[in-house]
Amino acid sequence: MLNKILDFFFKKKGDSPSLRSVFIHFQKLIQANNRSLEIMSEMGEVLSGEYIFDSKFIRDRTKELLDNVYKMIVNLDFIAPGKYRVLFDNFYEIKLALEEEVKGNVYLPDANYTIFYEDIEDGMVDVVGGKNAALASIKNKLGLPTPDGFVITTQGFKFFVHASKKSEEIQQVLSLWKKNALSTDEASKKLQKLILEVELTDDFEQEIKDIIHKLKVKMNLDEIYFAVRSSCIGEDSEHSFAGLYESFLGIREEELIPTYKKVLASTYSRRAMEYRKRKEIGEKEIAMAVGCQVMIDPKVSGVIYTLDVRSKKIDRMIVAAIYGLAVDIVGGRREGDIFYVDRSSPYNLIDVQVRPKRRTTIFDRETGKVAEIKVEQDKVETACLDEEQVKYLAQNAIKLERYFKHPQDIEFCFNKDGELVILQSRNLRLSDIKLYCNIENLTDKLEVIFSNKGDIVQQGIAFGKVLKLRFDQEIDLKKLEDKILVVEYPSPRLARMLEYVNGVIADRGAPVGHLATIAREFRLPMIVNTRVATKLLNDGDEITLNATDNVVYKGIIKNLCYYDFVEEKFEDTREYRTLKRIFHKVSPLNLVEAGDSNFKAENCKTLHDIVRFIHEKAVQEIIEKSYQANISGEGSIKKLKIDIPLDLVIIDLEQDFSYDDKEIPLDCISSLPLKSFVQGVSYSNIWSREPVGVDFRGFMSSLSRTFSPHLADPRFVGQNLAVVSNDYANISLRLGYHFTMLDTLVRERAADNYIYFRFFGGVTESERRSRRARLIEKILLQNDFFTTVKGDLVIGRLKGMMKEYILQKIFVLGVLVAYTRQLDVKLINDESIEYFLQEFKNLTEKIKQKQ
Amino acid sequence: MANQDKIKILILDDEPIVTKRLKSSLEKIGYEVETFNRSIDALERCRKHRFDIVITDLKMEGIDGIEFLTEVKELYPDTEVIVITGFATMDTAKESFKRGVLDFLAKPFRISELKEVLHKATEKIKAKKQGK
Repeated sequence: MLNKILDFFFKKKGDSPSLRSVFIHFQKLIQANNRSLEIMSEMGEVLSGEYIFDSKFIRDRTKELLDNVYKMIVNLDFIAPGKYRVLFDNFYEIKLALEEEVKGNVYLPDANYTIFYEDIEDGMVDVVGGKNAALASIKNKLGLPTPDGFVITTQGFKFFVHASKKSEEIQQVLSLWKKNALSTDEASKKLQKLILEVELTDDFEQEIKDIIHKLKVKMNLDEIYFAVRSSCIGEDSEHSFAGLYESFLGIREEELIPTYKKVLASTYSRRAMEYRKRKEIGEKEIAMAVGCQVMIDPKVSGVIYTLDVRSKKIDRMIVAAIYGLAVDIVGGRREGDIFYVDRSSPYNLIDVQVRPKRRTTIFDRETGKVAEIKVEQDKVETACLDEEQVKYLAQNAIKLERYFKHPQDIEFCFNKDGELVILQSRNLRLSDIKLYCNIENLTDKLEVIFSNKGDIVQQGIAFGKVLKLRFDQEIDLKKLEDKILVVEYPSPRLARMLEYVNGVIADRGAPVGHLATIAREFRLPMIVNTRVATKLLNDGDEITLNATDNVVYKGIIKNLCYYDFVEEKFEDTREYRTLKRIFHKVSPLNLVEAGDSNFKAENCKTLHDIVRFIHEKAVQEIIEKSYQANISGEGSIKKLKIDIPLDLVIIDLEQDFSYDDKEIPLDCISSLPLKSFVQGVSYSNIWSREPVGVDFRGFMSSLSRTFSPHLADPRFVGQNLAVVSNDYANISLRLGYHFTMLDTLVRERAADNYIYFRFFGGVTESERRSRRARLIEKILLQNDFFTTVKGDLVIGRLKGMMKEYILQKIFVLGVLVAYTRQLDVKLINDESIEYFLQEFKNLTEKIKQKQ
Repeated sequence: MANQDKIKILILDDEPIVTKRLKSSLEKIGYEVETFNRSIDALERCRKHRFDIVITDLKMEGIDGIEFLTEVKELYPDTEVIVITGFATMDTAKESFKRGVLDFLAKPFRISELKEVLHKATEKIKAKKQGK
């Protein structure tokens, strides 16, 4: 029976499937493709904090996503049997990781015991510890300098306690202690001794040696000293453990493993064990990660509290600083100079108390030891930081506070080159400071400018002056500081501005666009799709954006911000962390461009990569199969009837055209995106404008230029093709010497929609080609696309916008294709870019008016 | 809002992340909120104490949501019940509405959507109180 069914599908030509069945599988593939993209968007959206979700959601969506990606692989395998089977292997590897993550286990593929700070991703706190995770965010997300080095993960601790030769004894002692058969003092001594006696396995030891070697090579160091710092994981917030565990400074390479053991042993110090017993923190919940950081010998070090909790003045920060290392300040032995600083830009100094600093502690590189020294006489009574340094420090401290959404207790230093390095940042213990007033009473009195108007991209509260930005306006980044950016469209162009502003409000857009993703990475409060922001808000207005409850208030309400500080952070929940880790294995796109040398099945690292790869290949296959079928007289390919010589052949997956019609008029096409595009291409008389004669040099270079092999099968050079359904279009064009590809989905739900546009190739020498690429990039940017340019290749991406907007952009792309058809030969110098940019702008503005 | 006027809400969901997050965001806008992760505990509490609004999940260990809300409605016909569930099907929705549920939200949902429903419920409750 099965054979009969298979025979039915494969009836046409030997073992290649019939065109009809290929279409059916392609449609299934596209459905799975769209559902996969939907789920990925939904996961991103839910991370905004606006949604209530549970672990069931994480489980269900991860499973559904895996099912859909699997469907895509299977359907591609039907369309092109055996050609891309390596995808199954990549898929299973990702599936394995995701299944572990769903269970709540952090999946680490190779790095079992060690990981460089720069490789630490969001949500890995269970593996690297809170302090290390925070340092990694500071380095990798906020781009601030932190010490170089690596972390010995909690896997190491788990080995000591559960898998080493001593683990049985360790567990026995713990169990006796739990039953009160052993005093805490006795248990602590025994446990610490056992930990110090554990021998590392060869693998474990080798991994540490390897990573030290890599670090030395990377930093170009012959000799290396470490600061070895504890970073414990427990259910309680980490700052309660402060000071319970050991850290060591100035550790030589060969001493690292014994020191590592000492830090692990401190997990079982009497004080720590007593503390956990009192707080009822289970021993199973405890794991220790250890940060191994390259030792810095700083000029000045210190500590900042972003709120002055000491004198309970919450409008100012407090900085304590001293020459050399901060150990004396941290340990409370010396106070150092004290600076009080305003909490908002320009971070004015409120007061300075210079203390005599006769002695201090430094790291002596000569002896490799931490030592106390006398301070030079002339420095004893002068401030160890100047005003500029304090301001710079304050500005960055506020950045950290905003990111972590809580006042911070920051350890910092200025290194030998005078560069600020963040050594540690953790939530400041607020003790009995009451940060917020009664919010009900507070909000009752406030003037609401608008509320519940838009969609939340990232929760949080921000205040500042409004800065409105028109879509093509350039701005000095300094002017963005402490502002609330108000824009019509959340264009990806604004990405580089996000790190300066306090918040973003947009009239349009959906919470799944490119800019939304970036705002979430920065945890920047942002609302889109308000429809009214640019109308109701004016430059310079002081406002408070409450992106948690979706309200914009008149005036600057600092208390509201403080209120946000004391709320339990959604980002600290286990479910958030799990979903974030899953998202990182699912969503990043490494295979962006089909022409790249890495665009291969075996390079797919995430599910998004697999989806992208399959989609590209499936379209190629369907074009090829349709073409072959047409030659053999089987095909249902029709040509579009149109006045301009576009020569476009249509493969419609949903619509059956009458057999007799050779050409189909545009009115009979049901694909919305194809219609918009063709209307754009044939708009006005742009198409038929005379191409400027190619000068001799341009002509010669056009002759010597060969077509890039990856772009299309040679049989299709000159063949313009559209694979479409009602809401989908994939259009590949070769016009003049350009290759253009447009892939788009247009539905009612903004979150589903995307445009992928690619432009490549052309006559004339490389200089003019790159000018054209620049022009097209600028046009795409002007139209709010997210762009990538590689040589003569321009990619524009847009997603998460509403249907009418997407259709309008498709129309504009049609105009662009017609407009640039022969344009490259006119781009004789850099000035001409601006000229044509302006001309195109005028052209499209006319269209807007007409529409 | 003075304390005695506060609308009292009970939230039942077997996942603490849901109850925790709802509690803090609803308290912030003036509701008085109690949360439970086990239906047996929630039911026990309901038998002793009347809530104006009950928000419940459907699929849970032990007594499931439908059973729970049925008993709540029997005890206090005026209590408004809102269902939140990850197993949203037409059947479960119909079943819920048949038993007098005010609204039905599929997880994941926006906090603002729930707030709207709560607003609706509060208006209804107030209207009833004034009518009496």
